Amino acid sequence: MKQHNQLTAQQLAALTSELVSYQDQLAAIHELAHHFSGPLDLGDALHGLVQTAVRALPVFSAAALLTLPQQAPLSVTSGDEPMANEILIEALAHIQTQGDYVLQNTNGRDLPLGCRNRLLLPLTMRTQIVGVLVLLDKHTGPFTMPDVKLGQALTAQLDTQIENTLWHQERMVQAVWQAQIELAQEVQRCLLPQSLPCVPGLDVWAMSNPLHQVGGDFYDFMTSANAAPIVSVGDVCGKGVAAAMLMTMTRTTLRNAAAFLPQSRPAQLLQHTNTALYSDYTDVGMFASLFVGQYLPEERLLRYANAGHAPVIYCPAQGDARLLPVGNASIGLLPSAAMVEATIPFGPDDVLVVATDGFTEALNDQQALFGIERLLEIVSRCACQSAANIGAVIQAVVTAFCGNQPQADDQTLVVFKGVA
Amino acid sequence: MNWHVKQIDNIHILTINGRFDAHTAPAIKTWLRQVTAQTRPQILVHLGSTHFIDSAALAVLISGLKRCREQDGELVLTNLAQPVRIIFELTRMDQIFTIMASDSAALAALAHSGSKAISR
Repeated sequence: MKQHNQLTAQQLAALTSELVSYQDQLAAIHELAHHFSGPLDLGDALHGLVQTAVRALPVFSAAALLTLPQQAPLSVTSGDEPMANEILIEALAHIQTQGDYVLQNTNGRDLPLGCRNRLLLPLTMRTQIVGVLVLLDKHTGPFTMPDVKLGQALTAQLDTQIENTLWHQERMVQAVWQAQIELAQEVQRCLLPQSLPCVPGLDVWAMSNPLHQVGGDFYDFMTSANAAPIVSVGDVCGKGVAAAMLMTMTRTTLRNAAAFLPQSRPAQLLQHTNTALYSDYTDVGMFASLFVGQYLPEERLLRYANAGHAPVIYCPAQGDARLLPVGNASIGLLPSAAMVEATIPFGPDDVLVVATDGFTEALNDQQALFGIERLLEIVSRCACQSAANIGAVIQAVVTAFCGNQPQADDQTLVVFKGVA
Repeated sequence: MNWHVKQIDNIHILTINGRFDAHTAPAIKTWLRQVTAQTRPQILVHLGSTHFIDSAALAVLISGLKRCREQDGELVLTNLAQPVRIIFELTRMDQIFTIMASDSAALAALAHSGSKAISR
């Protein structure tokens, strides 16, 4: 009976010791979780992991290496003497090959000099091993599976911290990018005419709606006391930021040509723009279509030159809408192209519609294109209305045609109507 | 994949099916860059089953054409289906490219031309 009581006391002591040990380990995990609960950079987080691991297992020495994409490697060691980089790099390579923890109770064999036992634990980022926790020489003997479990509980905390940090960094990058795009959008909006020009004899309406925040379409009006008013509509191939950059360049080149060559005709403006931009467009593998029209109020004529832009629709007061021929290759296609131009009567009730392919290539739910024929039909039908109404009808009909299909390209539309 | 390539002698043949647009364009651009890095590249682009082509795709073809000609080579388009032909005509691209009605005519012209440019 006495022996039985002594055995029970020993068991009780062992159980108590084990419970205390578990409690210490739980406290360590809790402490680490609490440490990671606030905003923390990964260097501090790695330091916290190493220090906690040294106390919780406990071990004589610990170190960690973290190699995240596009960031400098981070390493932390528990003691005053940093662990050699070669050891950490070898440990990372070892664990990446293994794919999981590595337990080495080899009493020094295949281990760094002076080390008896070693436990390696992976640090992961979205299932990919990007680091290693190295634990050397446990105080109480060889490493055991409970040590592995404890180590995994600790590294899991860091994995969460890595995830949170990356998420935060990605959010920051997105926020910066979004701010830049919004600024670019504002700049591009400012580059479009802020008001419609008042030109005697003309009723004018225009709109531009990029697919993304910025786009490759533009329209512009240039009016001065000394020269006939000019309208331009351009469409840089592609969409988005790259197209927007080239759109800005093209608009500015055309504006400069008009400013410095005030008596120039549309063909000369196109030629100047193409010569100036050909090599740039070639270098980036892109091109732009560009229509330039010049209204001659006294003669009531519209002189125009067209570099690859479609559709340009002319609907005379007495007649049906028709496409105006293009005449010239797009900007950036040929190194030195002599541009041709043409002149059409533009008196009361004559209508000119210059659109970009975002209208004609709009798709409906059956993946059918809106096409040019439908656009010609609308212009013929609405030509008796004001420029603004013609534009509004075109927009409304194309939107109705598309049904549930989202807009797929930049859309720009300029409408001229002759008035008495 | 809605495009594929093959080679007959020194002539690279690119066939594009369905839509040739901003989604398809980058991969074809990469392929064209590789082919046009060679001396005197001879390329036939078969567009018989291409029912739509957008401006991003046209830019890829134009870029390929320019690089071909820089290398004394040639790029020929064949079998343009009606919707694509209309786009080429509307934008005057038909005046820039060599366009032939059939692959056999284009192959013969490319083989015959060798180092000489095809008269358009």
